[in-house]
Amino acid sequence: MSSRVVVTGAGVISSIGAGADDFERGLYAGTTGVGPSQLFGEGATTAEVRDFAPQNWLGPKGLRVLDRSARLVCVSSHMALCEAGLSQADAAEGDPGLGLICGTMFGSLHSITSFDWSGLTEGPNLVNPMAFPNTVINSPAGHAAIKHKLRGVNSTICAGLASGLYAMHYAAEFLRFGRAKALLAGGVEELCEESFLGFRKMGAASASGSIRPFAADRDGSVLGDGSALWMLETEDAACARGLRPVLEVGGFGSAHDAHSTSAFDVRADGATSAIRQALAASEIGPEQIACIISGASGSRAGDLMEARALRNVFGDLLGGIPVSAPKAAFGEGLGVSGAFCALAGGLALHRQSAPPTAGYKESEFGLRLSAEAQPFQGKHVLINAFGCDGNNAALVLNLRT
Amino acid sequence: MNVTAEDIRTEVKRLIAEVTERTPEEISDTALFQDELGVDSLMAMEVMVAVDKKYKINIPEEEFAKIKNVDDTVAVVQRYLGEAA
Repeated sequence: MSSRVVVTGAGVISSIGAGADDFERGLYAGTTGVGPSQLFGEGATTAEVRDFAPQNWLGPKGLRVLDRSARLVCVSSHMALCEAGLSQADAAEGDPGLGLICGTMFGSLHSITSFDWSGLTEGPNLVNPMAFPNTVINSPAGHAAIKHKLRGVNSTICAGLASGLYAMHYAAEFLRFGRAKALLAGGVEELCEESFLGFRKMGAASASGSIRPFAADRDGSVLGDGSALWMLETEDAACARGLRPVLEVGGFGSAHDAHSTSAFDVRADGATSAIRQALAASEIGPEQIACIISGASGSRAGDLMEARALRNVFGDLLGGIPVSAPKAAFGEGLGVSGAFCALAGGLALHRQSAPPTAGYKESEFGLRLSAEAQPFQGKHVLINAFGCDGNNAALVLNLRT
Repeated sequence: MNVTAEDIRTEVKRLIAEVTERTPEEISDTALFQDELGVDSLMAMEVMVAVDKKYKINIPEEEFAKIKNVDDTVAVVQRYLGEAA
């Protein structure tokens, strides 16, 4: 039996588009989702999902008790299940072979804070019991399982900005071991006042309100939110269903800097190691990477760290490899960002064209970025997700021919 | 607090309608919360907490099990309002 794991569907909701087609259009048009916030008022700049209306996908019932994260991941799961032809909407019981692996960073932070706030201001006896289940970090994944009858493995992975890629790898391993039939994998992150204020206080927010990855005048990041999931299956299972998937999840690498909980390690040891592991696990050399999807988000130290890691691994090859930094479009999505970038990498491989980096002018690191799409020929794309919490992950995607 | 039975009835129907995602008009005085309206224990507790908050009373949890419909709820709230007065 083949242990290859392939992509048979995608669901995404983001500031640049809802649904894989919209996301692709927005990304390749070079548009950005960075703009005035609806959540915090026009004075604030975010890359949030605007005019979010989950009932458009989920119907009007059953939304009341879901927090924003749960709504986002229920929508992206719905999309991915439908695209893969695995929706359980008409099934009485649901499928024990279907599961969800969800990455997130702050998860339920806002639900926890709201519950606490209510206890403090109204008294511990008057907290809303229906709001309590939402305070656990795996409640969004649980709600998605209930809504879509996913009776298989259900796990939430919390690994900072690398969460989305960790989730995809974890799901791929589950499938390779034959322990599931089909798994949704990716991430979700909701933008909330708590993360927004914390991010700003830490000095990570862009003062100018724009993301300029790798630029000399970059001044920080802009938070985004949303959810992105792939439907993953073994190639055998997908082919048995009559599908001809072209996208394969390749090697994965991860390393913790063990340096700080809030500052990038600019020596880039962890990031370098993560990329090298991903290439080794894919049994390919750096010269076979045709395109790089960077996790750079305009952070002074973070972008420097990633540029160093890329230089360490690719050396003189680097100037010839198209690089895309799509967070300029969908913002710094924290726990979902790896999954957003993986979807962008999948599109790049499929179209043989690196997505534009929105608003890009010049890199101070000699990287081949562009405000236009960059065509390439090749079978392997590298996705990076590095975080200031020390978590670093890299994933290779392969094109099946 | 000067609250009529009809005030309480309107409020309880509004709350039950909210947790069961119906309109208040769909909630009859005698429809069984659990068997007819699909109210589970957590939903029932949410309604009771909201009622406690609204009328500044404290209905003990052991009362919950005895409450089967809107009529029962109105009677319990009136009883505890009387005790609070």
